[in-house]
Amino acid sequence: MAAADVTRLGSNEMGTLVAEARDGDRGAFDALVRRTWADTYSLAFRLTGNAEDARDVCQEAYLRAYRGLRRFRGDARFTTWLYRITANCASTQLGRRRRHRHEELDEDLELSDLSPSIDPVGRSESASLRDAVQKALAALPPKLRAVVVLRDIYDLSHEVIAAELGISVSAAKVRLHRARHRLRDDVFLRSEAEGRTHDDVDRPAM
Amino acid sequence: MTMLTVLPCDRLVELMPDLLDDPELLSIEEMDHVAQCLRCQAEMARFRRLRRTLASLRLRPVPADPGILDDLLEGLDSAAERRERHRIASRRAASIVGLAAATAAGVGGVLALATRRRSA
Repeated sequence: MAAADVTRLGSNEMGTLVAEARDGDRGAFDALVRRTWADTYSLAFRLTGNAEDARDVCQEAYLRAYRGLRRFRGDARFTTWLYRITANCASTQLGRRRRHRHEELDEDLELSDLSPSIDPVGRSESASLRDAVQKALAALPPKLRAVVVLRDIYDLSHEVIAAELGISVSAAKVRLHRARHRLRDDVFLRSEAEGRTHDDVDRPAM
Repeated sequence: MTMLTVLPCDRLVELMPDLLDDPELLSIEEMDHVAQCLRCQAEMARFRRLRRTLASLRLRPVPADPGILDDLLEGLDSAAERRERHRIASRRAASIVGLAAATAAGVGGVLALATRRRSA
Protein backbone atom coordinates (compact mmCIF):
# COMPACT_ATOMS: atom_id res chain seq x y z
CA MET A 1 0.00 0.00 0.00
CA ALA A 2 1.34 3.41 -0.91
CA ALA A 3 2.22 6.00 1.71
CA ALA A 4 -0.63 8.17 0.53
CA ASP A 5 -3.03 5.32 1.20
CA VAL A 6 -1.56 4.77 4.63
CA THR A 7 -2.08 8.43 5.39
CA ARG A 8 -5.67 8.24 4.25
CA LEU A 9 -6.39 5.19 6.38
CA GLY A 10 -8.84 5.95 9.13
CA SER A 11 -7.11 6.36 12.45
CA ASN A 12 -9.85 4.22 13.96
CA GLU A 13 -9.03 1.35 11.65
CA MET A 14 -5.32 1.59 12.44
CA GLY A 15 -6.14 1.95 16.13
CA THR A 16 -8.22 -1.21 16.08
CA LEU A 17 -5.48 -3.17 14.34
CA VAL A 18 -2.89 -1.87 16.80
CA ALA A 19 -5.08 -2.83 19.77
CA GLU A 20 -5.66 -6.32 18.37
CA ALA A 21 -1.97 -6.76 17.59
CA ARG A 22 -1.08 -5.62 21.09
CA ASP A 23 -3.39 -8.33 22.44
CA GLY A 24 -1.30 -10.89 20.60
CA ASP A 25 -3.22 -11.14 17.31
CA ARG A 26 -0.49 -11.94 14.73
CA GLY A 27 -2.96 -11.48 11.89
CA ALA A 28 -3.58 -7.92 13.01
CA PHE A 29 0.15 -7.22 13.16
CA ASP A 30 0.59 -8.68 9.67
CA ALA A 31 -2.19 -6.36 8.48
CA LEU A 32 -0.29 -3.41 9.97
CA VAL A 33 2.86 -4.52 8.17
CA ARG A 34 0.98 -4.80 4.86
CA ARG A 35 -0.36 -1.30 5.28
CA THR A 36 2.83 0.41 6.36
CA TRP A 37 5.75 -1.46 4.78
CA ALA A 38 6.05 0.67 1.63
CA ASP A 39 6.20 3.82 3.74
CA THR A 40 8.66 2.28 6.21
CA TYR A 41 10.85 1.04 3.37
CA SER A 42 10.81 4.51 1.81
CA LEU A 43 11.99 6.06 5.06
CA ALA A 44 14.68 3.39 5.49
CA PHE A 45 15.86 3.94 1.91
CA ARG A 46 15.97 7.70 2.33
CA LEU A 47 17.96 7.35 5.53
CA THR A 48 20.43 4.71 4.40
CA GLY A 49 20.68 5.61 0.73
CA ASN A 50 20.67 2.06 -0.61
CA ALA A 51 18.22 -0.78 -1.13
CA GLU A 52 20.15 -3.48 0.69
CA ASP A 53 20.51 -1.51 3.91
CA ALA A 54 16.93 -0.28 3.62
CA ARG A 55 15.72 -3.86 3.46
CA ASP A 56 17.70 -4.84 6.57
CA VAL A 57 16.57 -1.74 8.46
CA CYS A 58 12.96 -2.43 7.55
CA GLN A 59 13.20 -6.02 8.77
CA GLU A 60 14.82 -4.97 12.03
CA ALA A 61 12.29 -2.18 12.55
CA TYR A 62 9.32 -4.52 12.25
CA LEU A 63 10.94 -7.10 14.51
CA ARG A 64 11.51 -4.43 17.14
CA ALA A 65 7.99 -3.14 16.69
CA TYR A 66 6.62 -6.65 17.07
CA ARG A 67 8.62 -7.29 20.22
CA GLY A 68 7.88 -3.86 21.67
CA LEU A 69 4.24 -3.45 20.69
CA ARG A 70 3.04 -4.02 24.25
CA ARG A 71 5.05 -0.98 25.28
CA PHE A 72 3.42 1.20 22.62
CA ARG A 73 1.14 3.39 24.68
CA GLY A 74 -0.85 4.75 21.79
CA ASP A 75 -0.31 8.40 22.70
CA ALA A 76 1.41 8.87 19.31
CA ARG A 77 0.26 7.53 15.96
CA PHE A 78 1.44 4.02 15.18
CA THR A 79 3.18 5.28 12.03
CA THR A 80 5.08 7.93 13.99
CA TRP A 81 6.16 5.27 16.49
CA LEU A 82 7.29 3.11 13.58
CA TYR A 83 9.22 6.02 12.04
CA ARG A 84 11.08 6.45 15.32
CA ILE A 85 12.01 2.79 15.43
CA THR A 86 13.07 2.86 11.78
CA ALA A 87 15.19 5.96 12.35
CA ASN A 88 16.85 4.28 15.31
CA CYS A 89 17.52 1.09 13.33
CA ALA A 90 18.91 3.10 10.41
CA SER A 91 21.19 5.01 12.74
CA THR A 92 22.49 1.72 14.16
CA GLN A 93 22.91 0.26 10.68
CA LEU A 94 24.82 3.29 9.42
CA GLY A 95 27.03 3.25 12.49
CA ARG A 96 27.75 -0.43 11.99
CA ARG A 97 28.56 0.06 8.33
CA ARG A 98 30.82 2.98 9.19
CA ARG A 99 32.73 0.93 11.73
CA HIS A 100 33.10 -2.02 9.38
CA ARG A 101 34.07 -0.17 6.27
CA HIS A 102 35.79 2.79 7.95
CA GLU A 103 33.75 5.14 5.83
CA GLU A 104 34.31 8.76 6.51
CA LEU A 105 31.19 10.81 6.85
CA ASP A 106 32.55 14.08 5.61
CA GLU A 107 30.25 16.77 6.84
CA ASP A 108 32.67 19.53 6.00
CA LEU A 109 33.00 19.34 2.25
CA GLU A 110 33.81 22.69 0.78
CA LEU A 111 30.85 24.29 -0.88
CA SER A 112 31.38 25.99 -4.20
CA ASP A 113 31.53 29.71 -4.08
CA LEU A 114 28.29 30.48 -5.80
CA SER A 115 26.72 33.85 -5.68
CA PRO A 116 23.05 33.78 -4.87
CA SER A 117 20.82 35.35 -7.46
CA ILE A 118 17.22 36.36 -7.58
CA ASP A 119 14.89 33.46 -7.88
CA PRO A 120 11.51 33.80 -9.57
CA VAL A 121 8.96 32.35 -7.21
CA GLY A 122 5.42 31.24 -7.22
CA ARG A 123 5.50 28.06 -9.27
CA SER A 124 4.07 24.86 -7.96
CA GLU A 125 6.52 22.08 -7.25
CA SER A 126 7.06 19.97 -10.33
CA ALA A 127 8.34 16.51 -10.95
CA SER A 128 11.70 17.87 -12.10
CA LEU A 129 12.15 19.92 -8.95
CA ARG A 130 11.31 16.86 -6.90
CA ASP A 131 13.90 14.89 -8.85
CA ALA A 132 16.49 17.59 -8.22
CA VAL A 133 15.67 17.56 -4.50
CA GLN A 134 15.85 13.77 -4.34
CA LYS A 135 19.24 13.76 -6.03
CA ALA A 136 20.55 16.44 -3.70
CA LEU A 137 19.15 14.51 -0.75
CA ALA A 138 20.89 11.33 -1.86
CA ALA A 139 24.18 13.26 -2.17
CA LEU A 140 24.05 14.51 1.43
CA PRO A 141 26.25 12.81 4.02
CA PRO A 142 24.12 10.28 5.96
CA LYS A 143 24.24 12.27 9.21
CA LEU A 144 22.84 15.38 7.56
CA ARG A 145 20.42 13.43 5.41
CA ALA A 146 18.91 11.67 8.42
CA VAL A 147 17.84 14.86 10.18
CA VAL A 148 16.40 16.58 7.13
CA VAL A 149 14.50 13.44 6.09
CA LEU A 150 13.04 12.97 9.55
CA ARG A 151 12.21 16.64 10.04
CA ASP A 152 11.12 17.88 6.61
CA ILE A 153 9.67 14.74 5.06
CA TYR A 154 8.36 12.87 8.09
CA ASP A 155 7.70 15.86 10.31
CA LEU A 156 9.26 14.47 13.49
CA SER A 157 10.16 16.97 16.21
CA HIS A 158 13.74 18.00 16.95
CA GLU A 159 13.48 16.22 20.28
CA VAL A 160 12.33 12.92 18.77
CA ILE A 161 14.98 13.09 16.06
CA ALA A 162 17.69 13.76 18.63
CA ALA A 163 16.50 10.87 20.79
CA GLU A 164 16.38 8.35 17.96
CA LEU A 165 19.71 9.35 16.45
CA GLY A 166 21.39 9.48 19.84
CA ILE A 167 22.46 13.11 19.57
CA SER A 168 21.59 16.30 21.44
CA VAL A 169 18.70 18.53 20.34
CA SER A 170 21.14 21.31 19.52
CA ALA A 171 23.25 18.94 17.40
CA ALA A 172 20.10 17.89 15.55
CA LYS A 173 19.27 21.54 14.87
CA VAL A 174 22.79 22.30 13.66
CA ARG A 175 22.71 19.33 11.29
CA LEU A 176 19.30 20.35 9.99
CA HIS A 177 20.55 23.87 9.38
CA ARG A 178 23.53 22.62 7.42
CA ALA A 179 21.49 20.07 5.50
CA ARG A 180 18.95 22.68 4.38
CA HIS A 181 21.72 25.02 3.25
CA ARG A 182 23.38 22.22 1.29
CA LEU A 183 20.11 21.26 -0.36
CA ARG A 184 19.39 24.86 -1.27
CA ASP A 185 22.87 25.17 -2.78
CA ASP A 186 22.57 21.94 -4.73
CA VAL A 187 19.02 22.40 -5.94
CA PHE A 188 19.00 26.11 -6.73
CA LEU A 189 22.46 27.62 -6.88
CA ARG A 190 24.36 24.83 -8.62
CA SER A 191 21.70 24.50 -11.29
CA GLU A 192 22.03 28.23 -11.96
CA ALA A 193 25.81 28.01 -12.02
CA GLU A 194 25.52 25.22 -14.58
CA GLY A 195 23.41 27.45 -16.76
CA ARG A 196 20.03 26.12 -15.75
CA THR A 197 17.60 28.44 -14.07
CA HIS A 198 14.70 27.50 -11.83
CA ASP A 199 12.56 27.70 -14.86
CA ASP A 200 14.61 24.91 -16.39
CA VAL A 201 14.67 22.86 -13.25
CA ASP A 202 11.10 23.56 -12.36
CA ARG A 203 9.28 22.76 -15.54
CA PRO A 204 5.60 22.28 -14.75
CA ALA A 205 4.52 18.65 -14.58
CA MET A 206 2.33 17.43 -17.38
CA MET B 1 17.64 52.22 2.08
CA THR B 2 19.68 52.70 5.24
CA MET B 3 18.27 49.40 6.51
CA LEU B 4 19.69 47.53 3.53
CA THR B 5 23.22 48.60 4.41
CA VAL B 6 22.85 48.16 8.16
CA LEU B 7 21.44 44.62 7.90
CA PRO B 8 23.59 42.43 5.69
CA CYS B 9 21.57 40.00 3.62
CA ASP B 10 24.20 37.28 4.06
CA ARG B 11 23.54 37.15 7.80
CA LEU B 12 19.80 36.85 7.24
CA VAL B 13 20.24 34.18 4.55
CA GLU B 14 22.30 32.23 7.07
CA LEU B 15 19.33 32.33 9.47
CA MET B 16 16.75 31.29 6.90
CA PRO B 17 16.86 27.50 7.29
CA ASP B 18 16.02 28.00 10.97
CA LEU B 19 13.16 30.38 10.18
CA LEU B 20 11.26 27.49 8.64
CA ASP B 21 10.85 26.06 12.14
CA ASP B 22 10.76 29.30 14.07
CA PRO B 23 9.58 32.37 12.12
CA GLU B 24 9.90 34.48 15.26
CA LEU B 25 13.69 34.33 15.18
CA LEU B 26 13.73 37.62 13.30
CA SER B 27 13.50 40.96 15.02
CA ILE B 28 11.00 43.53 13.78
CA GLU B 29 13.82 45.43 12.04
CA GLU B 30 14.97 42.27 10.29
CA MET B 31 11.42 41.47 9.19
CA ASP B 32 11.13 44.99 7.81
CA HIS B 33 14.35 44.45 5.92
CA VAL B 34 13.12 41.21 4.40
CA ALA B 35 9.89 42.93 3.40
CA GLN B 36 11.93 45.45 1.40
CA CYS B 37 14.75 43.27 0.11
CA LEU B 38 14.18 41.27 -3.07
CA ARG B 39 17.23 39.13 -2.51
CA CYS B 40 16.11 38.07 0.98
CA GLN B 41 12.58 37.39 -0.28
CA ALA B 42 13.94 35.25 -3.08
CA GLU B 43 16.13 33.30 -0.67
CA MET B 44 13.24 32.80 1.72
CA ALA B 45 11.11 31.59 -1.18
CA ARG B 46 13.81 29.07 -2.10
CA PHE B 47 13.90 27.60 1.37
CA ARG B 48 10.11 27.44 1.51
CA ARG B 49 9.92 25.72 -1.85
CA LEU B 50 12.61 23.32 -0.76
CA ARG B 51 10.63 22.42 2.32
CA ARG B 52 7.36 22.06 0.40
CA THR B 53 9.05 19.78 -2.08
CA LEU B 54 10.58 17.70 0.70
CA ALA B 55 7.19 17.42 2.40
CA SER B 56 5.65 16.28 -0.88
CA LEU B 57 8.07 13.32 -0.94
CA ARG B 58 6.27 11.91 2.07
CA LEU B 59 3.40 10.87 -0.19
CA ARG B 60 5.70 9.42 -2.84
CA PRO B 61 7.09 6.10 -1.72
CA VAL B 62 10.41 4.87 -3.02
CA PRO B 63 9.79 2.02 -5.48
CA ALA B 64 10.34 -1.24 -3.63
CA ASP B 65 10.63 -4.88 -4.61
CA PRO B 66 7.28 -6.47 -3.61
CA GLY B 67 9.27 -9.48 -2.36
CA ILE B 68 10.28 -7.34 0.63
CA LEU B 69 6.83 -7.74 2.13
CA ASP B 70 7.11 -11.54 2.00
CA ASP B 71 10.54 -11.35 3.62
CA LEU B 72 9.18 -9.12 6.37
CA LEU B 73 6.30 -11.46 7.12
CA GLU B 74 8.60 -14.50 7.05
CA GLY B 75 10.98 -12.76 9.42
CA LEU B 76 8.10 -12.08 11.77
CA ASP B 77 6.98 -15.72 11.54
CA SER B 78 10.45 -16.85 12.55
CA ALA B 79 10.52 -14.35 15.39
CA ALA B 80 7.10 -15.51 16.60
CA GLU B 81 8.23 -19.15 16.47
CA ARG B 82 11.40 -18.33 18.39
CA ARG B 83 9.37 -16.44 20.94
CA GLU B 84 6.95 -19.36 21.34
CA ARG B 85 9.79 -21.85 21.69
CA HIS B 86 11.43 -19.60 24.27
CA ARG B 87 8.12 -19.28 26.14
CA ILE B 88 7.63 -23.05 26.20
CA ALA B 89 11.25 -23.64 27.22
CA SER B 90 10.95 -21.03 29.98
CA ARG B 91 7.74 -22.58 31.21
CA ARG B 92 9.32 -26.04 31.15
CA ALA B 93 12.36 -24.76 32.99
CA ALA B 94 10.13 -23.08 35.56
CA SER B 95 8.21 -26.35 36.03
CA ILE B 96 11.45 -28.31 36.50
CA VAL B 97 12.77 -25.76 38.96
CA GLY B 98 9.46 -25.83 40.82
CA LEU B 99 9.44 -29.62 40.90
CA ALA B 100 13.05 -29.70 42.07
CA ALA B 101 12.26 -27.17 44.79
CA ALA B 102 9.22 -29.16 45.90
CA THR B 103 11.24 -32.39 45.93
CA ALA B 104 14.02 -30.74 47.90
CA ALA B 105 11.51 -29.36 50.36
CA GLY B 106 9.88 -32.80 50.71
CA VAL B 107 13.20 -34.56 51.25
CA GLY B 108 14.22 -31.88 53.70
CA GLY B 109 10.98 -32.29 55.59
CA VAL B 110 11.37 -36.08 55.81
CA LEU B 111 14.94 -35.71 56.98
CA ALA B 112 13.96 -33.14 59.58
CA LEU B 113 11.17 -35.41 60.83
CA ALA B 114 13.51 -38.41 60.98
CA THR B 115 16.12 -36.41 62.86
CA ARG B 116 13.54 -35.17 65.35
CA ARG B 117 12.20 -38.73 65.97
CA ARG B 118 15.72 -40.06 66.45
CA SER B 119 16.60 -37.40 68.97
CA ALA B 120 13.30 -37.98 70.80
